[in-house]
Amino acid sequence: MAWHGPIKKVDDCRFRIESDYRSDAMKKVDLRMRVPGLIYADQRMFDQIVKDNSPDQVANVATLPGIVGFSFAMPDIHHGYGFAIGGVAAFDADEGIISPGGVGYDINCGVRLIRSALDYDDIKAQVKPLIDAMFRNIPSGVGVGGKRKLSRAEVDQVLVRGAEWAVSEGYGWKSDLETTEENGAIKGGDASVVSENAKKRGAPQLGSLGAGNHFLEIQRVDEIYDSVAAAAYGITHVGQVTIMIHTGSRGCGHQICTDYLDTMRRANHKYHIPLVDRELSCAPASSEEAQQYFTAMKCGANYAWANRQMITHWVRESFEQVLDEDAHRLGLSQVYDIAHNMAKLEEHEYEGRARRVYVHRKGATRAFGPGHLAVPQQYRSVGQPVIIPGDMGSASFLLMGTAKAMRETFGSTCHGAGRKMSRTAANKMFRADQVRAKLQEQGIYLRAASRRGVSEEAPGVYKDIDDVVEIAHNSGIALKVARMRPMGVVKG
Amino acid sequence: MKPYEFKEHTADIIARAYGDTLGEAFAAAARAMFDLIASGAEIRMVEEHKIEVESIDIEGLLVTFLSDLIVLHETENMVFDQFQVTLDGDRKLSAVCRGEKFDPKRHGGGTSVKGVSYHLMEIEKGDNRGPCHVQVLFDI
Repeated sequence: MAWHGPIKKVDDCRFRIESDYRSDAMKKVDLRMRVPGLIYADQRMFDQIVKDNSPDQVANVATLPGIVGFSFAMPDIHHGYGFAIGGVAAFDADEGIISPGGVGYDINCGVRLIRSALDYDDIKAQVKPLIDAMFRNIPSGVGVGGKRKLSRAEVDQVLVRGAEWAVSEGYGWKSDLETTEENGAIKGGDASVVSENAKKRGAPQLGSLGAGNHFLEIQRVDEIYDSVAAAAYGITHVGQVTIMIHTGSRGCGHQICTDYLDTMRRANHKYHIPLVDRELSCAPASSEEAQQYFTAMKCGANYAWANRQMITHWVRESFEQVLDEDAHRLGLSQVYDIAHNMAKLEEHEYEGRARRVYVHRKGATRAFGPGHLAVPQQYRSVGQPVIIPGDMGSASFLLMGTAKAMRETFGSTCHGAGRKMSRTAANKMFRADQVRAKLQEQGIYLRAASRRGVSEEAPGVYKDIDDVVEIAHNSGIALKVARMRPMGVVKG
Repeated sequence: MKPYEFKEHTADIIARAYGDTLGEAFAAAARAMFDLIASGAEIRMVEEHKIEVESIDIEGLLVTFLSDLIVLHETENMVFDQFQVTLDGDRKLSAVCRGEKFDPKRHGGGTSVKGVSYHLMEIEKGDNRGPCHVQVLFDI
């Protein structure tokens, strides 16, 4: 299903779908694009993007009421359901809509980066025991829950207090909260709008990695692009060891999405919002249904922050066990923690006008520029850290948000490499033991909960992370700060 | 031959499931889902769970049925392989589900199904594989 619609090349990193484009689906229900689509890609990447018809999804999102500016697609865009993965859309707070599909099942799937005072040479002989310890201490894989089974009352606390709850229970440091988006808990969560099923799924899973593309990595900095920004983020030299955590809200967030997709389908009938695609179901932003979802989504996000907070604690414990040294002395401080599946009510100046908008980022990262009050004080002069995880064989990136992203994309940028090969094709093409051997050749030690996870997440299934980041950098919607290469990986 | 098959999708996975009746096709879709979750391992018939589902239409019924099975998997630690699905019009469904507790030794290493999507969903009279078929995309 390739895209054959009209497209206009704007410059070397932008393609535009004009708002007079009408797909067959749009003609059928007589829906027009309200704004143009804007895809961040170079020619080579664009040729890849059109293969899975995701530009049509970009066009579909542009038909939704109250959309402001553009329906954006980041360079890592790939086909999702309803909204493409790698999509950003801002909807006016009064005239617009809120859609659970614009966030996705894994609410606040996100990434956390921890730095260290360690150097590659200090620990290269200990990567294996460190990864083994992390694999032991942090539950991962299908059907594997957390080590701490929460009571119902505790779940309610987590849904409202997020990472701060975890810190108060002894998981991690207070300073972690200062360097977490929203300080690890969006205000306004209310556990009463979260279903019993979501709480039941969440209770046994807090503090677990899950499966799929989620991972833990020990990395080393292999290139610094901007030494001033890097220093502000505590990244001081090539060879410095970092740790990355990539996971989300587990079954709790998935169930919140499932529950509210159902609510929104009902609301759609009630508010007569015509849709080109059922997965775009939504409700007027000010409606009871939309606001209830938004509140529940906050709870899901808070759960995810508590999850990554507990995992952070066990990562530090693993380092302490293996290196026989206190985590503070090892300098295991957090750089930042950022969501890449989220909708947020934000104030932006867009085309000279102050706008209150619900910015939906589905597989996209907030990238606020210098001076923004939401950026932690210690980073405010350079801009918000943006963490872009790559596949297990290549690299991950640390970038910084920019004033340009604020003007152009509601302060948003890409979120990762983006898949280019299906899991079934990956299973046929890559054998787990071969992937493992290849990584070993590159000096990367892998522990995985399942062989299937290894094949499906083989480095070849993703777009080249360097290409994705280069487009974000060249278009100015985030600037490169440093690149980290994996030394050891735990896969769910 | 299994009454379901998997189709390629860039990020997720699509199952097509067949049956003589729509209820059987729904049951086959559920089997496909647990094939993913339990990595294709044998699931014994040890326990029985009954579920009842309501929705606003037939698509909602399929999504809710499968989503409720994910809830049972994650909260009761169950995996299932046999389903008797009874449809009562387009808005009500009841099912008897047979399976056993998830055993990491035998069932481990599978795929985590996060949710059941409406995207690319088909619920129709079938083709040569069976009189009825459904197609559903699992978010994994």
